Amino acid sequence: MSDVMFVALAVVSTASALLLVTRRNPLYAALCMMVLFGTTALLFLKLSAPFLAAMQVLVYGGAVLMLFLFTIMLLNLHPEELGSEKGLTFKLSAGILSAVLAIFLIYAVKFSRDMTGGSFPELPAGSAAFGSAESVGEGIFDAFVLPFELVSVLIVAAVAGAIVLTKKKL
Amino acid sequence: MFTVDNCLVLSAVLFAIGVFGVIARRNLLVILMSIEVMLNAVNLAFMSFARQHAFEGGNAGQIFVLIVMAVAAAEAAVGLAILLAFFRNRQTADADEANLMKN
Repeated sequence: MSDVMFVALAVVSTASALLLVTRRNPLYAALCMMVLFGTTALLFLKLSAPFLAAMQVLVYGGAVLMLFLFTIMLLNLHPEELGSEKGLTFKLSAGILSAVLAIFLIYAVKFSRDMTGGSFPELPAGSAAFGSAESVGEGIFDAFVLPFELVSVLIVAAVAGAIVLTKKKL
Repeated sequence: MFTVDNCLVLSAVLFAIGVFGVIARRNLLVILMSIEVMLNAVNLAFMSFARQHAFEGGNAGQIFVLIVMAVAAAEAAVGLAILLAFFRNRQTADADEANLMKN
């Protein structure tokens, strides 16, 4: 059952990512991205991290996707404004290049010495020690408090930068 | 089937698809979306390793994922703001038109 669900999620996420990079209309690409974020959230749930699954839906499915959809709406690109795409030879060579990258990565995963063993360790039943909001929060506010605070600085800088960049008169 | 290897293979495949999108497309919106796909793939790899080392590694992997998410959101905000400023100046979302600093 677990395997069937994983294979289904893998197929759906790969297919939606492939559709995302091949759709000409950015709106369809954004909708494919929504499917991809949903499947990733489900994969996080399967990896027993419910808090991160919730964050995935909130941050990616909520904030980032809305940002993209609003930008598509603001640009309001007509089909003739989408511009020309690159030629077939260029796309083919880019495809071969990224396929080679994928093969190298898969080779590295499949044949690295630390990867033997494979299956995930069983978590003790009933304990929420791994993926709960409580345990992640403990990590954030204890060992990783400095990176966490720096992230807030980064977000303030990004918001200020975005506002300045989109001003009419720069 | 549901093993560490296969999760990492899925993450590698998604990352390669994102790389393809960044190289092969000219629409800036799709390029930014492909970058999000790549970051998503990296998150999946982090999460798989965190789950694999659930007993010795603590929660470090999950916190990396959270921080990557925050960086991705900031990157999307700034990237889309740059795209809007670019579109206002050139009336196009084509990355190859961004040639102001060429020559």
